[in-house]
Amino acid sequence: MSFGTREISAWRTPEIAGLNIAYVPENMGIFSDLSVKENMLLAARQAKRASQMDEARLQWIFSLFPAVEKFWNHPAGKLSGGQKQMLAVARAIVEPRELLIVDEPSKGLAPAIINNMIDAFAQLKATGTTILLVEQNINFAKRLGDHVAVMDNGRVVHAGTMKALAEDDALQQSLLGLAL
Amino acid sequence: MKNTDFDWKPLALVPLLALLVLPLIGSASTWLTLTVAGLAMGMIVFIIASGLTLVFGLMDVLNFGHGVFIALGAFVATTVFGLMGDWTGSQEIWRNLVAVFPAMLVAMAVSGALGLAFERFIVRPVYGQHLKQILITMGGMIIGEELIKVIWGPAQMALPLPEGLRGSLLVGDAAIEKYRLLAVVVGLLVFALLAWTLSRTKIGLLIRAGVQDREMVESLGYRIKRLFIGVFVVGSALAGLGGVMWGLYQQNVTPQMGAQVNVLIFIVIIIGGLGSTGGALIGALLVGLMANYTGFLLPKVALFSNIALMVAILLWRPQGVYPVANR
Repeated sequence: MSFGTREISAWRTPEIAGLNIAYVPENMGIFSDLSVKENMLLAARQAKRASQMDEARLQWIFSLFPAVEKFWNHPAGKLSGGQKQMLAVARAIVEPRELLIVDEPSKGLAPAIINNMIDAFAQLKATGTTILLVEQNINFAKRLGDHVAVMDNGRVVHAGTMKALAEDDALQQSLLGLAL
Repeated sequence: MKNTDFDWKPLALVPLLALLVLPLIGSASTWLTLTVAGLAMGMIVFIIASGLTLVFGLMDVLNFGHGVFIALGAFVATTVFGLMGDWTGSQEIWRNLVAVFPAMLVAMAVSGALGLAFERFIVRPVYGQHLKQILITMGGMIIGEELIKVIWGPAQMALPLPEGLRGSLLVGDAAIEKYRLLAVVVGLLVFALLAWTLSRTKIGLLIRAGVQDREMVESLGYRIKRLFIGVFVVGSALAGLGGVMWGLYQQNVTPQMGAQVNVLIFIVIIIGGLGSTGGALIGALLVGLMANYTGFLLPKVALFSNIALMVAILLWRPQGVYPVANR
């Protein structure tokens, strides 16, 4: 496995994260006993205190995910599932990252929240961040992806451009029927 | 949703226990003496247990050898006191304190250094294997005890209080030993410093987060093992400090004292909720009070009383008074 020009198969997790890669796990990995602010501060590796976080970037994140600002000083464990998901993504992008790995962000979320999330990812993508998205909701993935790989039982059964997949209904039917 | 919804019930247990036994003891002055003694003992036990609970919380390491740092700290203090006889023997309390503080600092440094070696050679090879951790850390403690015997001899040694710290203050009819007040003050200082570090600094934030979910802390780019080594060393140094205070509380030290205190500190961290420093403080105060009250009321059940206390609390909150989330 390599990232850029580096071979990273044997690297440890913190070293890989240190390459400017952020990860949003499927279980969101929120620290429930910590406040929303503390969750964000943890991910901001350059900042020792909340006041040292990049204010402009925070404002941008707040505009994408207003719940993060609203519940800034609240324990993260008290947030709803959707709010936690927003916090998990907000935390991953608190500092600019080259690659954002996101595991099933739409799972269990209301459609309105999914739209917010898609907007946020689209803005991030526009800033040059690469996003590796694992997603079961094809309609979500379609609106963001350039490339797509469809997996079934741990194997890639199709790889190509998202545009080609999105335009080919028959292919979609046959591929997405696989795992169902 | 409230901003801060502090769970005050466990905290209320401490005054509740104290008030419940008041009618049983009868005399208010005896009750006050016992309560201060219990709080002093509780604060010392807390100092010892605080490191252990974080070590478990962060890396799931069961360190049954924590007691060796207690004994080492206490024996180092006997040596430092021996070198500073003029100061400990003085009637002036400031000179006594000048002797006590270097003893504490040297004890902490030596215990911390041993902690570093203990983590490297004994704990690190058995990460993630609880049974082996129990066996090898207990083995480490036995070796530590034997090394103490090699250096200081196998016999009990006196660790007399410096002159100015002996004796009692009279509050009404109640006699309150001066040293116990000092122990409460030092305990509160350590707690305040610990609480400040954990709640106000980035390192503290990392420790609290690591206790909840260490894998996520790693995927945010932090090396949790380095953090763990730091916590282990500080925890060992605090156990050394607790050992000095415990030795002065008992006014003697034995190579086996660590093993004796070990039982108490495990009760404390289980009552508190593994990984919770706030819980460890509550647990330590409850254990200290309980030991002193039952020692007076029913000496025969004194040892059993703390086990009973732990069972009662676990029936109420099976994960301890302040369970750590995500564990």
